[in-house]
Amino acid sequence: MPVEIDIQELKAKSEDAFRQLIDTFGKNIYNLCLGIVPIAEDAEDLSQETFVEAFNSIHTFREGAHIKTWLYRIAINKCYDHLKWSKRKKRYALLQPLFNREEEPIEIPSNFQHPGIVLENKEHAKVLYAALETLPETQHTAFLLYEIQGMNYKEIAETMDVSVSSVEALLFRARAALRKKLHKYYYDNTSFKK
Amino acid sequence: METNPNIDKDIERTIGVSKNINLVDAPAMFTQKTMQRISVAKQASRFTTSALLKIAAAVILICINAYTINYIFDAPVQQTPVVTTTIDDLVNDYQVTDMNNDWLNNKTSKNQQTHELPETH
Repeated sequence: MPVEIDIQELKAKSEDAFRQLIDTFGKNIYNLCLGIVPIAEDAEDLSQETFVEAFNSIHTFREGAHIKTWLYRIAINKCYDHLKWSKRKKRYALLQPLFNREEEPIEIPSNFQHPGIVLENKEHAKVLYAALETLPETQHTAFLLYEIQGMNYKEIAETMDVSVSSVEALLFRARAALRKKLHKYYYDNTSFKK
Repeated sequence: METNPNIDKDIERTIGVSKNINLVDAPAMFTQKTMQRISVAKQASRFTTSALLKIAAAVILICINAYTINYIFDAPVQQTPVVTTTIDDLVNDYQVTDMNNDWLNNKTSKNQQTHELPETH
Protein backbone atom coordinates (compact mmCIF):
# COMPACT_ATOMS: atom_id res chain seq x y z
CA MET A 1 0.00 0.00 0.00
CA PRO A 2 1.59 3.29 -1.07
CA VAL A 3 2.36 5.70 1.74
CA GLU A 4 0.91 9.17 1.42
CA ILE A 5 3.57 11.82 1.57
CA ASP A 6 2.31 15.17 2.77
CA ILE A 7 3.77 17.67 0.33
CA GLN A 8 2.67 20.65 2.41
CA GLU A 9 4.53 19.24 5.40
CA LEU A 10 7.59 18.71 3.22
CA LYS A 11 7.37 22.27 1.97
CA ALA A 12 7.18 23.43 5.58
CA LYS A 13 10.47 21.49 6.02
CA SER A 14 9.04 19.27 8.71
CA GLU A 15 11.66 16.79 9.87
CA ASP A 16 9.03 14.09 10.44
CA ALA A 17 7.82 14.43 6.86
CA PHE A 18 11.37 14.09 5.54
CA ARG A 19 12.00 11.09 7.77
CA GLN A 20 8.93 9.47 6.24
CA LEU A 21 10.12 10.37 2.74
CA ILE A 22 13.50 8.73 3.38
CA ASP A 23 11.88 5.64 4.90
CA THR A 24 9.61 5.33 1.87
CA PHE A 25 12.05 6.01 -0.98
CA GLY A 26 15.47 5.47 0.58
CA LYS A 27 15.78 1.92 -0.77
CA ASN A 28 14.71 2.88 -4.31
CA ILE A 29 17.05 5.85 -4.44
CA TYR A 30 19.96 3.82 -3.06
CA ASN A 31 19.42 1.09 -5.66
CA LEU A 32 19.11 3.66 -8.43
CA CYS A 33 22.40 5.26 -7.36
CA LEU A 34 24.01 1.80 -7.20
CA GLY A 35 22.82 1.23 -10.75
CA ILE A 36 24.72 4.26 -12.02
CA VAL A 37 27.66 4.27 -9.60
CA PRO A 38 28.27 0.63 -8.61
CA ILE A 39 30.38 1.40 -5.55
CA ALA A 40 28.43 0.90 -2.32
CA GLU A 41 29.94 3.80 -0.32
CA ASP A 42 29.60 6.27 -3.18
CA ALA A 43 26.02 5.18 -3.84
CA GLU A 44 25.13 5.64 -0.18
CA ASP A 45 26.70 9.08 -0.14
CA LEU A 46 24.91 10.08 -3.35
CA SER A 47 21.54 8.85 -2.14
CA GLN A 48 21.95 10.83 1.09
CA GLU A 49 22.92 13.89 -0.96
CA THR A 50 19.76 13.36 -3.02
CA PHE A 51 17.58 13.77 0.08
CA VAL A 52 19.59 16.78 1.30
CA GLU A 53 19.11 18.37 -2.13
CA ALA A 54 15.40 17.53 -1.95
CA PHE A 55 15.25 19.25 1.45
CA ASN A 56 17.00 22.35 0.13
CA SER A 57 14.95 22.66 -3.04
CA ILE A 58 11.53 21.34 -1.95
CA HIS A 59 10.08 24.81 -2.67
CA THR A 60 10.69 24.16 -6.40
CA PHE A 61 8.57 20.98 -6.38
CA ARG A 62 5.42 21.48 -8.44
CA GLU A 63 2.08 20.50 -6.91
CA GLY A 64 0.61 17.57 -8.81
CA ALA A 65 3.94 16.10 -9.88
CA HIS A 66 5.10 12.75 -8.48
CA ILE A 67 7.55 13.04 -5.63
CA LYS A 68 9.13 9.71 -6.63
CA THR A 69 10.00 10.84 -10.16
CA TRP A 70 11.22 14.18 -8.80
CA LEU A 71 13.55 12.38 -6.38
CA TYR A 72 14.70 10.02 -9.15
CA ARG A 73 15.60 13.02 -11.31
CA ILE A 74 17.67 14.58 -8.51
CA ALA A 75 19.43 11.26 -7.87
CA ILE A 76 20.19 10.71 -11.58
CA ASN A 77 21.68 14.21 -11.88
CA LYS A 78 23.76 13.72 -8.75
CA CYS A 79 25.11 10.38 -10.00
CA TYR A 80 26.05 11.70 -13.44
CA ASP A 81 27.74 14.72 -11.87
CA HIS A 82 29.72 12.29 -9.74
CA LEU A 83 30.66 10.17 -12.77
CA LYS A 84 31.78 13.25 -14.70
CA TRP A 85 33.80 14.44 -11.72
CA SER A 86 35.51 11.07 -11.29
CA LYS A 87 36.24 10.84 -15.03
CA ARG A 88 37.66 14.36 -15.02
CA LYS A 89 40.27 13.21 -12.54
CA LYS A 90 41.62 10.72 -15.09
CA ARG A 91 44.48 11.63 -17.38
CA TYR A 92 43.62 13.10 -20.78
CA ALA A 93 39.99 13.44 -19.69
CA LEU A 94 39.94 16.97 -21.10
CA LEU A 95 40.59 15.61 -24.58
CA GLN A 96 37.90 12.95 -24.42
CA PRO A 97 34.97 15.11 -25.57
CA LEU A 98 36.89 15.73 -28.82
CA PHE A 99 36.51 12.10 -29.77
CA ASN A 100 33.35 10.20 -30.64
CA ARG A 101 31.82 8.80 -27.46
CA GLU A 102 30.76 5.66 -29.30
CA GLU A 103 34.41 4.81 -29.86
CA GLU A 104 35.20 5.15 -26.17
CA PRO A 105 36.69 1.84 -24.98
CA ILE A 106 35.24 -0.14 -22.09
CA GLU A 107 37.35 0.29 -18.98
CA ILE A 108 36.67 -2.22 -16.24
CA PRO A 109 36.63 -0.47 -12.86
CA SER A 110 38.87 -1.88 -10.18
CA ASN A 111 36.63 -0.75 -7.32
CA PHE A 112 33.36 -2.38 -8.44
CA GLN A 113 31.34 -3.50 -5.41
CA HIS A 114 27.62 -3.86 -6.06
CA PRO A 115 26.02 -5.68 -3.13
CA GLY A 116 23.06 -6.81 -5.26
CA ILE A 117 25.12 -8.97 -7.64
CA VAL A 118 25.87 -12.59 -6.86
CA LEU A 119 29.48 -13.68 -7.12
CA GLU A 120 29.02 -15.86 -10.25
CA ASN A 121 27.71 -12.86 -12.20
CA LYS A 122 30.26 -10.40 -10.88
CA GLU A 123 32.69 -10.52 -13.82
CA HIS A 124 29.94 -10.06 -16.40
CA ALA A 125 28.33 -7.36 -14.29
CA LYS A 126 31.61 -5.43 -14.19
CA VAL A 127 31.76 -5.50 -17.99
CA LEU A 128 28.08 -4.53 -18.28
CA TYR A 129 28.43 -1.53 -15.97
CA ALA A 130 31.64 -0.40 -17.65
CA ALA A 131 29.93 -0.66 -21.06
CA LEU A 132 26.87 1.23 -19.80
CA GLU A 133 29.09 4.05 -18.60
CA THR A 134 30.32 4.64 -22.13
CA LEU A 135 26.76 5.09 -23.48
CA PRO A 136 25.24 8.55 -23.81
CA GLU A 137 23.53 9.62 -20.56
CA THR A 138 19.98 9.37 -21.89
CA GLN A 139 20.48 5.82 -23.25
CA HIS A 140 22.22 4.77 -20.03
CA THR A 141 19.38 6.14 -17.89
CA ALA A 142 16.63 4.58 -20.01
CA PHE A 143 18.35 1.17 -19.96
CA LEU A 144 18.95 1.36 -16.23
CA LEU A 145 15.41 2.39 -15.31
CA TYR A 146 13.86 -0.27 -17.54
CA GLU A 147 16.16 -3.25 -17.11
CA ILE A 148 17.48 -2.77 -13.58
CA GLN A 149 14.84 -0.67 -11.82
CA GLY A 150 11.99 -2.47 -13.59
CA MET A 151 10.06 0.72 -14.40
CA ASN A 152 7.57 0.82 -17.28
CA TYR A 153 7.82 3.13 -20.31
CA LYS A 154 5.39 5.66 -18.86
CA GLU A 155 7.27 5.98 -15.58
CA ILE A 156 10.58 6.29 -17.41
CA ALA A 157 9.11 8.96 -19.71
CA GLU A 158 7.92 10.91 -16.67
CA THR A 159 11.24 10.59 -14.87
CA MET A 160 13.28 11.60 -17.92
CA ASP A 161 10.78 14.24 -19.02
CA VAL A 162 10.48 12.79 -22.55
CA SER A 163 7.73 11.07 -24.55
CA VAL A 164 7.02 7.34 -24.37
CA SER A 165 8.12 6.89 -27.99
CA SER A 166 11.43 8.57 -27.16
CA VAL A 167 11.93 6.06 -24.36
CA GLU A 168 11.35 3.19 -26.83
CA ALA A 169 13.86 4.70 -29.25
CA LEU A 170 16.40 5.28 -26.47
CA LEU A 171 16.09 1.69 -25.28
CA PHE A 172 16.48 0.34 -28.81
CA ARG A 173 19.59 2.44 -29.42
CA ALA A 174 21.02 1.57 -25.99
CA ARG A 175 20.69 -2.18 -26.61
CA ALA A 176 22.21 -1.90 -30.09
CA ALA A 177 25.13 0.21 -28.86
CA LEU A 178 25.66 -2.11 -25.92
CA ARG A 179 25.84 -5.19 -28.15
CA LYS A 180 28.31 -3.47 -30.46
CA LYS A 181 30.55 -2.39 -27.60
CA LEU A 182 30.42 -5.76 -25.87
CA HIS A 183 31.24 -7.51 -29.12
CA LYS A 184 34.30 -5.34 -29.59
CA TYR A 185 35.33 -5.81 -25.96
CA TYR A 186 35.03 -9.61 -26.03
CA TYR A 187 36.67 -9.81 -29.44
CA ASP A 188 39.67 -7.79 -28.23
CA ASN A 189 39.94 -9.70 -24.98
CA THR A 190 39.45 -13.25 -26.19
CA SER A 191 42.30 -15.61 -27.05
CA PHE A 192 40.34 -16.96 -30.04
CA LYS A 193 41.34 -14.81 -33.01
CA LYS A 194 42.04 -15.82 -36.56
CA MET B 1 35.56 -8.85 -37.28
CA GLU B 2 35.20 -12.56 -36.66
CA THR B 3 32.02 -13.92 -35.13
CA ASN B 4 32.69 -16.35 -32.40
CA PRO B 5 29.82 -18.29 -30.79
CA ASN B 6 31.55 -17.82 -27.45
CA ILE B 7 31.49 -14.06 -27.91
CA ASP B 8 27.74 -14.12 -28.60
CA LYS B 9 27.24 -16.22 -25.50
CA ASP B 10 29.27 -13.77 -23.43
CA ILE B 11 27.28 -10.83 -24.78
CA GLU B 12 23.95 -12.50 -23.96
CA ARG B 13 25.15 -13.43 -20.51
CA THR B 14 26.45 -9.92 -19.83
CA ILE B 15 23.22 -8.26 -20.91
CA GLY B 16 21.25 -10.89 -19.00
CA VAL B 17 23.00 -9.89 -15.77
CA SER B 18 20.85 -6.77 -15.68
CA LYS B 19 17.79 -8.99 -15.06
CA ASN B 20 19.50 -10.73 -12.17
CA ILE B 21 20.49 -7.76 -10.08
CA ASN B 22 18.81 -7.98 -6.71
CA LEU B 23 17.44 -4.89 -5.07
CA VAL B 24 19.34 -4.36 -1.85
CA ASP B 25 18.20 -2.73 1.34
CA ALA B 26 19.45 0.72 2.17
CA PRO B 27 22.55 0.58 4.42
CA ALA B 28 22.14 0.42 8.17
CA MET B 29 21.14 3.70 9.85
CA PHE B 30 20.51 5.22 6.43
CA THR B 31 17.55 7.33 7.61
CA GLN B 32 19.37 8.55 10.73
CA LYS B 33 22.52 9.45 8.80
CA THR B 34 20.51 11.27 6.15
CA MET B 35 18.48 13.15 8.77
CA GLN B 36 21.74 14.17 10.41
CA ARG B 37 22.97 15.57 7.09
CA ILE B 38 19.66 17.36 6.62
CA SER B 39 19.93 19.01 10.04
CA VAL B 40 23.50 20.08 9.21
CA ALA B 41 22.17 21.57 5.96
CA LYS B 42 19.43 23.30 7.94
CA GLN B 43 21.97 24.81 10.35
CA ALA B 44 24.17 25.84 7.44
CA SER B 45 21.26 27.61 5.74
CA ARG B 46 20.45 29.45 9.01
CA PHE B 47 24.08 30.47 9.38
CA THR B 48 24.14 31.61 5.77
CA THR B 49 21.07 33.76 6.34
CA SER B 50 22.47 35.41 9.48
CA ALA B 51 25.85 35.85 7.80
CA LEU B 52 24.15 37.52 4.86
CA LEU B 53 22.35 39.88 7.22
CA LYS B 54 25.65 40.75 8.89
CA ILE B 55 27.31 41.37 5.55
CA ALA B 56 24.39 43.54 4.43
CA ALA B 57 24.58 45.59 7.65
CA ALA B 58 28.34 46.01 7.23
CA VAL B 59 27.90 47.12 3.62
CA ILE B 60 25.26 49.68 4.63
CA LEU B 61 27.56 51.07 7.38
CA ILE B 62 30.47 51.29 4.96
CA CYS B 63 28.26 53.12 2.43
CA ILE B 64 27.09 55.61 5.07
CA ASN B 65 30.69 56.23 6.18
CA ALA B 66 31.91 56.62 2.62
CA TYR B 67 29.10 59.07 1.86
CA THR B 68 29.88 61.08 4.98
CA ILE B 69 33.61 61.27 4.25
CA ASN B 70 32.87 62.19 0.66
CA TYR B 71 30.42 64.87 1.80
CA ILE B 72 32.95 66.36 4.20
CA PHE B 73 35.76 66.57 1.66
CA ASP B 74 33.60 67.75 -1.21
CA ALA B 75 31.85 70.53 0.75
CA PRO B 76 33.09 74.02 -0.32
CA VAL B 77 35.59 75.35 2.21
CA GLN B 78 34.11 78.38 3.94
CA GLN B 79 36.74 81.05 3.54
CA THR B 80 37.11 83.50 6.36
CA PRO B 81 36.77 86.99 4.91
CA VAL B 82 40.09 88.77 4.66
CA VAL B 83 39.70 92.07 6.39
CA THR B 84 41.97 94.70 5.05
CA THR B 85 41.99 97.71 7.22
CA THR B 86 43.35 100.93 6.05
CA ILE B 87 44.15 104.01 8.02
CA ASP B 88 40.89 105.49 6.82
CA ASP B 89 38.91 102.53 8.17
CA LEU B 90 40.68 102.93 11.43
CA VAL B 91 39.82 106.56 11.42
CA ASN B 92 36.19 105.79 10.75
CA ASP B 93 36.04 103.05 13.33
CA TYR B 94 37.48 105.16 16.09
CA GLN B 95 35.72 108.30 15.03
CA VAL B 96 38.95 110.16 14.78
CA THR B 97 38.21 113.75 13.81
CA ASP B 98 40.01 115.74 11.18
CA MET B 99 41.66 117.81 13.83
CA ASN B 100 43.08 114.77 15.44
CA ASN B 101 44.04 113.57 12.08
CA ASP B 102 45.91 116.76 11.46
CA TRP B 103 47.48 116.51 14.78
CA LEU B 104 48.54 113.02 13.95
CA ASN B 105 49.96 114.18 10.70
CA ASN B 106 51.77 117.04 12.32
CA LYS B 107 53.12 114.81 14.94
CA THR B 108 54.39 112.49 12.30
CA SER B 109 56.01 115.27 10.35
CA LYS B 110 57.60 116.64 13.53
CA ASN B 111 59.00 113.28 14.26
CA GLN B 112 60.36 113.11 10.82
CA GLN B 113 62.02 116.50 11.29
CA THR B 114 63.58 115.57 14.61
CA HIS B 115 64.97 112.45 13.18
CA GLU B 116 66.62 114.33 10.38
CA LEU B 117 70.23 114.83 11.20
CA PRO B 118 71.56 118.39 11.14
CA GLU B 119 73.85 119.10 8.38
CA THR B 120 77.45 119.12 9.44
CA HIS B 121 79.87 121.38 7.93
